[in-house]
Amino acid sequence: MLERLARALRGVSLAMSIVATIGILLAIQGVAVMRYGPRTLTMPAYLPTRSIRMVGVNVGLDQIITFLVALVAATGLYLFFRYSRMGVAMRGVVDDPDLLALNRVSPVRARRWAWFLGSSFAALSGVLIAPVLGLEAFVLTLLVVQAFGAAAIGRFSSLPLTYLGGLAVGVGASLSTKFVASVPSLRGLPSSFPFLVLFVTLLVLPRRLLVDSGAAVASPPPHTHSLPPRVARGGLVLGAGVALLVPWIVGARLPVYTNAVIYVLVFLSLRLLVRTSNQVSLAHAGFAAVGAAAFAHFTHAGLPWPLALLAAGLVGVPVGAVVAIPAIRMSGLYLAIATFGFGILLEQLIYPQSFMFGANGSLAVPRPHVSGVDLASDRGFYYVALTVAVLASVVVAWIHRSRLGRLLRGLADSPTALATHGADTKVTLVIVFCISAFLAALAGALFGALTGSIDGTPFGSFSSIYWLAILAVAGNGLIAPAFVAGIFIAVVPAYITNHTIIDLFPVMFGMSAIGNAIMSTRGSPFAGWLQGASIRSAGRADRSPVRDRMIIQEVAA
Amino acid sequence: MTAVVAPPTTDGLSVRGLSVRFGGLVAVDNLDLDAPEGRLTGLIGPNGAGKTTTFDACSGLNTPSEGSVHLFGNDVSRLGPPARAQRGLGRTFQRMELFNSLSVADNVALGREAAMAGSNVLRQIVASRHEQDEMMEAAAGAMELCGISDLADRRASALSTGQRRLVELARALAGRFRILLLDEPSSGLDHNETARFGDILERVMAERGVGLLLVEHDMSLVMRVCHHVYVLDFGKLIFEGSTDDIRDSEIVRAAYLGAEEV
Repeated sequence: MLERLARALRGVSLAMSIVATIGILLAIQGVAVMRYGPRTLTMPAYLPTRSIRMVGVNVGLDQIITFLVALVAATGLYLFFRYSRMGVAMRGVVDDPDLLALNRVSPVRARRWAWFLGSSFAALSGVLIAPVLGLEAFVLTLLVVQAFGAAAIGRFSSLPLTYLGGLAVGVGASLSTKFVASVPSLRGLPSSFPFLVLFVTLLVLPRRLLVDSGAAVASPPPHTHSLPPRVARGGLVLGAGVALLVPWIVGARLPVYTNAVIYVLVFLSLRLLVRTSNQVSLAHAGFAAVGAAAFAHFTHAGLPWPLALLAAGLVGVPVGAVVAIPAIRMSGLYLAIATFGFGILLEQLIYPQSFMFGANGSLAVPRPHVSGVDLASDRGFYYVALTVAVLASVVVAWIHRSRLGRLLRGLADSPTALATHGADTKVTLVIVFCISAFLAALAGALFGALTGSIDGTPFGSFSSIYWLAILAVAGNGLIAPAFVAGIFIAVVPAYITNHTIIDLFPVMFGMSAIGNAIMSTRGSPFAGWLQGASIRSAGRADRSPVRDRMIIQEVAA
Repeated sequence: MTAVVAPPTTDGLSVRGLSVRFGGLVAVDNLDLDAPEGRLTGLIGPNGAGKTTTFDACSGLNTPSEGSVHLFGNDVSRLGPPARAQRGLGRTFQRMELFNSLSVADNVALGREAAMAGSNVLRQIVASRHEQDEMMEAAAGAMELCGISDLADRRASALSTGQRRLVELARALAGRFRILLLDEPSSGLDHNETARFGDILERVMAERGVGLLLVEHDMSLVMRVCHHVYVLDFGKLIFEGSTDDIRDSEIVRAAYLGAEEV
């Protein structure tokens, strides 16, 4: 089944293939959470736990068995790839499926076997590790990212090195536990150690190992339909009108809408990075967290509110620049993993530090105060957030028309051509990551001001994944999808009280992200219709889903 | 063999002692090559002879194991692709690298705009009015020269291979390049299109006076337009001379033209 999907995704742009992967992840996780609940299931130890003494250390029998199973698996795989016909075919399918087909080996069959093998090995390791870690979808997903660290040490090609890398990562993490016992500020180190290894290894690996084999595929352009200008303008005026009137309509639910408006910043920031420039960042929650923390500190230090907001955004900029470093060196899947690793590093190593959310892990964040004008109330603050979101929209629209916009679109299509015509694409990448981080940090700051206090929980590294999936289903326009996505993520759940449906959300977003990614290359009438529909709905962005729901509520009341 | 290596020339692109290895494979072996301004230089050889690898080494897309690349007397071996482009070296690609989601006009204009943006943060973000005009003018001129003005508003991905080749050439011509590397511009073109491409190359030479280095498989095109030809085989230079010399050369015939002529 996954093989079918993988085939459908061939030729999709890099960013979209990442989106699809994320979609699968969200969907499967969502199903697991729905079926088994979010709590960790414990699994009885099924292997003998008796321990024996080896070279002066107590070693559990189960641990020895695990070690041996892993060793056998690694050796088996090594021999398989080296000597069996199917193993060689699998390696061939990576390089040139068509050539393989000419040699009477079905690439489909080879891929199917690869997926089958991959899934069974993953399942095997899950079974082995479950008694140790407990069963929880999120933890096990993180495990996969950690495993990439080991694979990176094996340079993505050497199985023996990968095996050693896996051992080294595990041992290193355990050793760091001892080390940090004496340095309390590094508490997060042991759990984030594998991600540190991953991030650093990806940074130092020779660049040619990081060439995504999908990168050579020329992707057909997305089929964008544009609205007639009059309709677009009408939609804009209507949307603006509704947005201005929201505080007078929705009553006590207003903070939910403010939240949606703040999310617009997040999605604008992602839009610029993912859709315009064909880059990927799974560290966006980290940018927002940094912005939130910086904003809290600046306001406490007595900086005027608007200045503090601006400064908080600027603090996000260097963090964005750091994430641009992997973007310069790699693309596609590797970039996604590296940025995700970076996000987890931020979450585990940096969030707990007192310079982030204070010694208690939580900081108070004020709303703006201007004498005579009511900005601190829910209603006032809604307009503050709306103003910022509209300003950001204008800036993003301007960027699209500017030279930077043209460079970014060029970067998405052919970075090589851009470079050989004299533009330094490294600079372009750093600029777009900085702008994106700036917007996300602004959003983080406003989130804090909305709730009144801020801590690390809303900025978990998985939020970044969720955000990206939602953006992918929110349509193809420039500004409107950011508003649609904001409403999706903040407003819609607030009106649904049924928990099953809420739990279904990640699954739905995941599924539609996959669908959208596949559709992004197909010229099928269905895709045209789908995109047409999404754009039509984008035109009345601020109106339809919300208002329809309100009408339903009124009727019900 | 007493090889007397000539010093690099100062009137264009000059490659000295270039070797590129991929693992154990020697793709280019100790190559000397000159492509001065005002000359149409050909680089031919069978598939896998190392032609595109040589181009990549010239424009900074791969890392040679030995040798140097000079542009107008300056050693650019350690510079990246953008810096070499800034010094006047442009190129096209065998596997075309167009900006597929942009219009033809935008593609061609970006050929100039990319150079204006360079590596300066501010200049990457905004274009002055003056630059904007210059860009449009350069793009219009280049499209006119390549005869694709009527395609200006079409999306690059919607064109035929022949048209796309011309867009790529126009994009390179919109830049202020003094040396252009053209990588198999006639591949995927039919007989008439190739002939038209030859006409355009001759116009470019006459109007712009740039230096062209042409990798090409179509021998009729090479024989027609080139002034000077280098022949590569298995990464080694096996012959160099005028098109007349090539026709007479036994070595070249054996290595390259062999099958047809015998």
